[in-house]
Amino acid sequence: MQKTILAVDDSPSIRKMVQFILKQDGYDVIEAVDGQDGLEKAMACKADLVLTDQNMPRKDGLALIQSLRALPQYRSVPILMLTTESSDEMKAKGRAAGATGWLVKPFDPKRLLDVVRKVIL
Amino acid sequence: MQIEDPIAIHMRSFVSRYVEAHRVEAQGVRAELDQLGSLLNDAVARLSASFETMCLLSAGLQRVEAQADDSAPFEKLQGRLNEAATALQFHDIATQILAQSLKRIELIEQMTGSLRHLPDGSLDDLTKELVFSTTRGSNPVTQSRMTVGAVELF
Repeated sequence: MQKTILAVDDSPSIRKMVQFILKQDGYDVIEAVDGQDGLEKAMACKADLVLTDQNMPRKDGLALIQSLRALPQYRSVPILMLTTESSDEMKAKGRAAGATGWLVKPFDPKRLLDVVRKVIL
Repeated sequence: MQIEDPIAIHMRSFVSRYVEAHRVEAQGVRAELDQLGSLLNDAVARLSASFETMCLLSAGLQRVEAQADDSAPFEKLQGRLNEAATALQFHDIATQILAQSLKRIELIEQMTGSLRHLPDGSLDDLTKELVFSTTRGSNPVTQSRMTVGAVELF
């Protein structure tokens, strides 16, 4: 069965790249433009994996993860942070919020796919 | 009637000219950053359109090569597209740096703006007014090159 990935990023170019890379591997990709949009789309569909940026308007990545982890259907869904932030402090916050992993931009398409394949349920 | 300290008068005049010069420079920097942002958006829109076309051509090439049983050109093109997918992320990174720079300009404008109306009074009053606290926003971007970032699974 085709897996669905929710890609949350306020940058259209990043969403386009993520879409391009994941579709090559047969995933269905749903895009969201910020954390709030991501939460709404996550509730409307049941994504198998969530990829989210950190710095976004309305709701940032950490707040999105917290909101998703509070929903029963997203308690065990892998959530990867895909961000320019690389400080240990931010990573610790991400981990505490419930992130499954942390990828620093710019990402390499092959490495992104490797990580997605590894964590997707 | 209180006689104002002549040094305070001199200092107020100096600060006033200094503030005006800062305001003009900050305005110039803001305009240049906006211009840079527009150029960046335009360039990325064009590059993205080319990228999408190449992706479509790549899919076509893959089908042709499947029939010809030679996947070398497709793999080469796919490799280049992957490199482009990494490089095109500079837009997001550069946009965040620009936003951070604009925040800094805003902070400078606030700081100088607060000096525009200095109170009358002694040199001490003036000094107190000049000592203001600032909050620094931290730059979310540490990257200085487009090398691939780290991956960490918790």
